[in-house]
Amino acid sequence: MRSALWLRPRDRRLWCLGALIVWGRLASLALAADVVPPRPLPHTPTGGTLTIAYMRETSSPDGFQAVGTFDRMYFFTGNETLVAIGKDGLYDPAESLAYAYDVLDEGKRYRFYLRQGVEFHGGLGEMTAADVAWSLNRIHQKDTGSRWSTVFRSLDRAEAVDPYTVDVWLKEPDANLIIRMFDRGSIVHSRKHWEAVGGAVQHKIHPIATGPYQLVDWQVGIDQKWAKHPKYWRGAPMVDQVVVKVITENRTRLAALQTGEVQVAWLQAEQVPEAQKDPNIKVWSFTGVGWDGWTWATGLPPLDDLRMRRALVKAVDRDALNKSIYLNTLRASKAHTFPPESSYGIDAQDLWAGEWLKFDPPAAKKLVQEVARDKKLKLPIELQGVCEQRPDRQLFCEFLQAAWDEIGVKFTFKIVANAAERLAVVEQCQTHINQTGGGMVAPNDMEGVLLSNSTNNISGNVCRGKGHAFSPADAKVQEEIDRLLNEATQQTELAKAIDMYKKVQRVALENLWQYVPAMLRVNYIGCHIPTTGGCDTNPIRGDGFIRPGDFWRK
Amino acid sequence: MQKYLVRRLLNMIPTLLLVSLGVFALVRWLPSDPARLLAGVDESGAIDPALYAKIKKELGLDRPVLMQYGAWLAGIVRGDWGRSYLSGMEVFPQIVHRLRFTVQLGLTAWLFGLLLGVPLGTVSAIRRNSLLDMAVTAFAISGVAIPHFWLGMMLIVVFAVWLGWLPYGGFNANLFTTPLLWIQQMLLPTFVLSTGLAAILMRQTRAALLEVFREPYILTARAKGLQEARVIWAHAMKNSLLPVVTIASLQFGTLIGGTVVTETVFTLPGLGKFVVDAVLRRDYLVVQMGLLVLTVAVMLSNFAADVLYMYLDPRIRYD
Repeated sequence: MRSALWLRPRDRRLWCLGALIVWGRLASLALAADVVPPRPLPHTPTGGTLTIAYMRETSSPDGFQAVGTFDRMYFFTGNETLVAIGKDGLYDPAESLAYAYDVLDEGKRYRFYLRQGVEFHGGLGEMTAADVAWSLNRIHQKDTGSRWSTVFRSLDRAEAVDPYTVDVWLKEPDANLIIRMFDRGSIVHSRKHWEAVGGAVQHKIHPIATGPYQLVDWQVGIDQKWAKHPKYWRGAPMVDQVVVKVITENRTRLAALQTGEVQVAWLQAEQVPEAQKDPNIKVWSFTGVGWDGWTWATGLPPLDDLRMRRALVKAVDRDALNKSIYLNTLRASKAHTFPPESSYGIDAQDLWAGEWLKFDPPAAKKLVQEVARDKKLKLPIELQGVCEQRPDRQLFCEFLQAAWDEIGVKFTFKIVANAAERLAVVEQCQTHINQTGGGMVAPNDMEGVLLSNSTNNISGNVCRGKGHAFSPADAKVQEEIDRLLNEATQQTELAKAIDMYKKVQRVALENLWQYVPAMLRVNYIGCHIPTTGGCDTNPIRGDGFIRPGDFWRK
Repeated sequence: MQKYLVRRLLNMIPTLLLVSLGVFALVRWLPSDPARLLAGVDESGAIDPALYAKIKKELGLDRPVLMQYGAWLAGIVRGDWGRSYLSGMEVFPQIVHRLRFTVQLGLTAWLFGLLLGVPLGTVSAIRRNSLLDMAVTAFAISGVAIPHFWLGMMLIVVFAVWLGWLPYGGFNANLFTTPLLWIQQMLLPTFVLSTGLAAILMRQTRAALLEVFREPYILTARAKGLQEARVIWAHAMKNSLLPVVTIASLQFGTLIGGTVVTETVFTLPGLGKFVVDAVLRRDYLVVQMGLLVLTVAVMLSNFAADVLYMYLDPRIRYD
């Protein structure tokens, strides 16, 4: 019998080639991360229709093209991101399209390992690395309806390595890449479908993704209907149909929940006490999805003086504000950002223990008098502001007006219809106080306000050279914040980056820089217990929103 | 008469043009910019200037305002009503879908108002200064004074939440295929919307009847020994109906244009709510087309009132 050693040269070459292929395959399997099995859905299919009520219309059921923060109430019914956020605010591989990832090349390359057997809606086939790479590469292409280019500024390109592996190349390390991917920028869509419908315009109305439900109908201002995706990778979806209704009137939305015609509803803070009285309703909340407060023009006199900023902060009784305007349903902020129990494992206790935002009107009054004397200003000192035309926000501005009136500051403000108009006023660079708010779930969220090149940094960017100028001391503060934020972004480990973000917070707090939170926002979700499953524990994810796929009908 | 009708219809064209100009100017006058909203002003307030410019160009908002107006009018004439700036959906089918509902609601409320207002007004006039008259008058005053918003809320709380007899709102029924559901879903909004009209018609019917009762021919009819019912129905009612018909016809247009509060409270898929939502979202095209359609609806209802007037009062001749 001839052994392999005695094979003819041609056969020997073939043997070697075969052995090389087998070795390569085995090696790649050995190196690849262990497959994390999908987490089964929490309940067997019950069928029926799950109705969710929300307070406003979405801009699109296509998560990639939806522009509003709150659009997540809709698009997560059928859209899924490459990496999913869990209830603890961390990456949850068991519910992610990518079951694992590696950080390579000193943080400049991320390798994502994709699940097999993830099917797109409508029989459009299996999701592959090519779809994922294409979906991510859309971020920098303007004709795709992308608004996420700035958020993913570190992203260079994505490439399919094999059918189930994707490499994401970064221009520079970005500690927050995974966190950025929790939101809509990393939603995976079918390239085939996108091209078949002719691109962004049609895909905005008829998206095809991988989630548990597929969009079947969208009546703007009325509802969206999503039917179950029979080949969903985590198992058969628990209900046959999800209807997300737009019920703009708050009392009607609560009534719909009370009658059980709606299973899950978004509640406004002022409705919570009444909802909690109803034995059929369970209210869940999530603190710290954002803040309401103001940003100020640090470079516009007299706010270029830290004493003036201190005075304004000390004059505001946040607890009274919560009680009188928000009916005790929000949370008075005691620090610049992050509640102590924030997501992403951020321990912000020390920031909250400080007394930077302490209510002290006599001290505030004294500071105002000092500033007026030193700068030869007439009392009351006049400040201009801008507020949105929404009852809570208008009342908020009126509260500030009254509080500051007590310390010798006359605050007058313009009322505008929405955020876009408010920004338009701010860009005229004549306003000191800009009533605003922001998201703050992710540790990198403050970049949007604090970085001097940020589009929301009034004095540092928007109004630079238009009458706004930092004092020398303040210029140093901005420099330090820029340095720390840039350095934080360059970290390859999130934990290190978070430490730096906390330092940024301390610098910002000490100098009352750019934005001042008054209240921390709380998102409220009401469940109709007799008809709804999935509400025994808090169903809200780490981003402050629910996923309709987590509920079933009883 | 035909000549008159054609003239009336032709007269609508310049009125419509004027309205279109007004609507267009008004919408452009709103202190906002849909391109800004579309560019993604999120909680962080970040806007990409290049993206903003691109969107503005795509929407045609970078062109001079007069050119935008011309393009819009030309589009209407061609039958191209454009797409919503925000959703990207075609405006025409959306408006038709909502108009269908609003007309249903308006018509039902109008009929309900007539059926409630005219008989109550009649009874009130016949039993003048009685307890019944006072009760009906109180109802009429309440109908005008109680805001639809509050009334709607109260009805939802009582009939949907407490008693569970009717749905809180929403609409997915069809009069012909699911008539029971249709009635259930239409009952509360119809009642709310019709109270104002019923109250006005009741007061008008009462006043008109009382005036007619003083006429010599009513005295003659009674002196002839006619039954009171015949005096009222055959002699008094017919002559007192003219002003009632005028008001009822004009109110139909008002109902169609004024359904927004009821539609919002009851979460109904109507045109009024659609337009108001579009105003809040600065969806210019939807607002423009929605307002124009509502204007046409009001104009047509006025036109119908004129025709009805001619039919009811043979003395009126427009030729």
